[in-house]
Amino acid sequence: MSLLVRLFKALNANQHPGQIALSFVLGMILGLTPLFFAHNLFTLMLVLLLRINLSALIVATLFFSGLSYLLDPLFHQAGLWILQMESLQPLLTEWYNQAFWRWINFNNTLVMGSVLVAYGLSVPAFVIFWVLVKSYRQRFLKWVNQFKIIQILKGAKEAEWLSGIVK
Amino acid sequence: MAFWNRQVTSAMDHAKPSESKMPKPKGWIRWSGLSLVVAGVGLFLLIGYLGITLALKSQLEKSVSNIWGAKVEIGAIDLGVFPLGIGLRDLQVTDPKKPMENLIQIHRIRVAVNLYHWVVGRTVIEEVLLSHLALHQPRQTSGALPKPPPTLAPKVKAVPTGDKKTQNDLAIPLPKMTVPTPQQMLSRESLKTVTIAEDIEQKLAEINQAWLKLEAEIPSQQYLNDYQARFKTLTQGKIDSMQAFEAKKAQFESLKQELEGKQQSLNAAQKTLKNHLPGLQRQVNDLKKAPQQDYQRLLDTYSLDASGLSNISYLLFGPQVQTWINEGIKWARKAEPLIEKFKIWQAEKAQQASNAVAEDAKRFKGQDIHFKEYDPQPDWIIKRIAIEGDVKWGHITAEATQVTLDHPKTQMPILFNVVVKPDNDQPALTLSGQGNAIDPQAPFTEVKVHWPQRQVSDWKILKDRNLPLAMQKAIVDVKGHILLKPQQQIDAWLNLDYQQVDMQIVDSPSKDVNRYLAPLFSDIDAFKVTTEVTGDWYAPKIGANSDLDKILSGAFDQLLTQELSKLKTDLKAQLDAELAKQLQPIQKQLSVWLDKDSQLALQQKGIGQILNSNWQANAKKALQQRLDAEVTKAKQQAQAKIDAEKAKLDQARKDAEAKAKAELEAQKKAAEKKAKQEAEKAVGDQVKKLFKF
Repeated sequence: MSLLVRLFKALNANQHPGQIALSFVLGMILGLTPLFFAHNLFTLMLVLLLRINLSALIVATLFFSGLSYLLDPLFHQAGLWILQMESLQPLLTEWYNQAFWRWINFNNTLVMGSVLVAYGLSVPAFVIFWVLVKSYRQRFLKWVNQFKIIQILKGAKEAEWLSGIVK
Repeated sequence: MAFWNRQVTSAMDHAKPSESKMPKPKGWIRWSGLSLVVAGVGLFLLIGYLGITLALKSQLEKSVSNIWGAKVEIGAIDLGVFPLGIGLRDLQVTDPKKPMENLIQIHRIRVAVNLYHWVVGRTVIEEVLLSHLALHQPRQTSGALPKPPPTLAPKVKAVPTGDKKTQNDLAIPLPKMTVPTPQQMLSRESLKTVTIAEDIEQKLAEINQAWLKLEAEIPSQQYLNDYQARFKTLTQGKIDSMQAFEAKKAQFESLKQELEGKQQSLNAAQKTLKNHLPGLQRQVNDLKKAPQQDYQRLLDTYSLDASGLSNISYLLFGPQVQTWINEGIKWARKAEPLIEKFKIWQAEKAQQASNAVAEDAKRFKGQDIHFKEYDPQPDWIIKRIAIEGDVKWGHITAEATQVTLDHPKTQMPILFNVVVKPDNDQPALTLSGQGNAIDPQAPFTEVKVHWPQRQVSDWKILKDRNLPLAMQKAIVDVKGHILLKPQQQIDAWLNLDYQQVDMQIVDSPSKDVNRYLAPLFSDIDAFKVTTEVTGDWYAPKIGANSDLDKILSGAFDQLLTQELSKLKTDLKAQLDAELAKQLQPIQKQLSVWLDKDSQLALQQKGIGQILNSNWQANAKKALQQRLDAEVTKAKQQAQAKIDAEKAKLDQARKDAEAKAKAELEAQKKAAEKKAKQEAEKAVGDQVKKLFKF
């Protein structure tokens, strides 16, 4: 339920569709790639520096994390293919002997595969999310608001807010 | 308005044509976020820096102090980024036994960590620099811990040292050195000369007793002459017949029987003398040598000689070696808790790593692809440690490379080189070696010691009450080799070649030392010492040998030559007199017995000649010759008769033969005449027949 609320909250927020779409993209990157690795510090920095919707980010992260369990074998194969590519061996060997690249675990098949796939998909995903958000706001927002559940949720939130005031 | 409603409303309003009422969405950059990042990073660095420099400092001081057993203080800790490293300033390590003294004091320690290896999880320290090292420096405040935790305090076993001994305990019991008078010596000591002489006399008495028993049976010379006269008579008489021969033979048998009885007595007497005289002669020879042996033994007993100084090397240098070993053991024991802690930390780290591997991964973790590593290193290594500082001997510089316990991986031993340069421009002491565990089954550590032309001055070799020996100056070449083997075994040697030595014994209360030993040490110019340390590290067997013993013995002999010349002369004279006193009657008696032995031999020879003579054979031979002559004569007479008879017979035969021949001739002639007549008659008849025809 909370996830659903967050999703609607993100979609209805007073933010550019692009910002919402970027939130989904960053969430996708966080979700698809292994979380506690150095490359995500870069993603985290973008999250902090760019005005994105955190609810959308969280929803996307959770969604794509679940998806990544299914996609990990593919990421592994992709990473393995890259890391074993003959023409890249000199470059990869050089990276292997440098602290920065070892720090970001580039030689892990899952990290390499998932980061490449996630960042590779980020641009088309951004466009898709942008279009989807815009479409949602133009076509489905009014319709969605008519649902009783949304009304209840609105009321609950109102009551919560009021109780906070009374206190 | 609630945030939810505000957002939704505004969004809905946004969808409406009247957009001018809606607030415009904020820009793409979250400035607050940027501030947060900057502040976060700044705070992280600040906390990190302060945490490391202050909290780590405090934590380090506390934990290391507890392990060490006395205060370990760090002036400051600083961090470096390029290169990545950590530095310590003013490290002070208190001596646990002397709280007002810093055992080690280091002004600056700089540790440079290899970033790459740190990232990949290895502790590879490129360089550790320790500068301005100082030992045994005084402290301003006490470095003792208020309440040292008993469990963490290092258990330092009591190392047996001689430090706590009093001066009296240290006094070396020197051999007795007072030179006595010959009279004192002879009155106290039993002389070999006298002992042998007494033994000889006892044996002479035994011979005498045995001789008395045999004397009655031994033939006198008169008897022997008589026997010889009787024998002469027997041999010179003429044997004409077998009867005469048999008579003489009977006389000879009687004489022989008597002589054989006397011969047995002579044999017994000779045997008695032969059993005793050679031994006596040997003893007399020994007796002649005995005074010299007595003389030497008395000198050995009543004077300092080589045997009295045979252990002087160990006496002088053994304690020094023991002190060095004790110092080494002391440092090893001090380092033990730290090494133990380090090993525990390594084991815990390995355990954690294995636990981490054992944990089941919640998400597929992929596979790490490994490429060629330009600088492969073990999990823990210090590539270089450099130490520089001042110790009481001088300026020390030390360097160790490839310091790690994982030698099988590096395939390189720990190499170290320590150079201590004395303050007064003397040649430096060099300790170089390796710690090698490339073969984990046979790890070893070896150290080569080299200190050429080391100048020694005012070295109190022995702080002994009786023998306060000091080396005023000397030059020594030091060479050594230390090998530490598994199971805490040590095998080491150290050679010290002392030249231009000036040794003195100063203010000894012992007259003997001042009189005899002090000049010896003063005269020594050069000597060599070899020390050996083997066995267990903590209880090694120490040996010290040198030619000092020989030198001292030689020198002492020289000194004694002067000191004891009179004693020797007197002693020798007295011993010679004693010998003469003992030897003269013995030799007299012995010569008597030897004469008797010669006489017995002569008598034995005479009797032997008689007994072994060929009288009977000669008599038989003479008798045979005579018989042969008679036989020959008889044979000749018989032959003459035979020849005469033979001649007669021959003449008779010849006459008979001549007569027979004459008759035969006459018969032959008559026959021939008759045959001739008949033949003529026959021929005539035939002719007649023919002519008739």
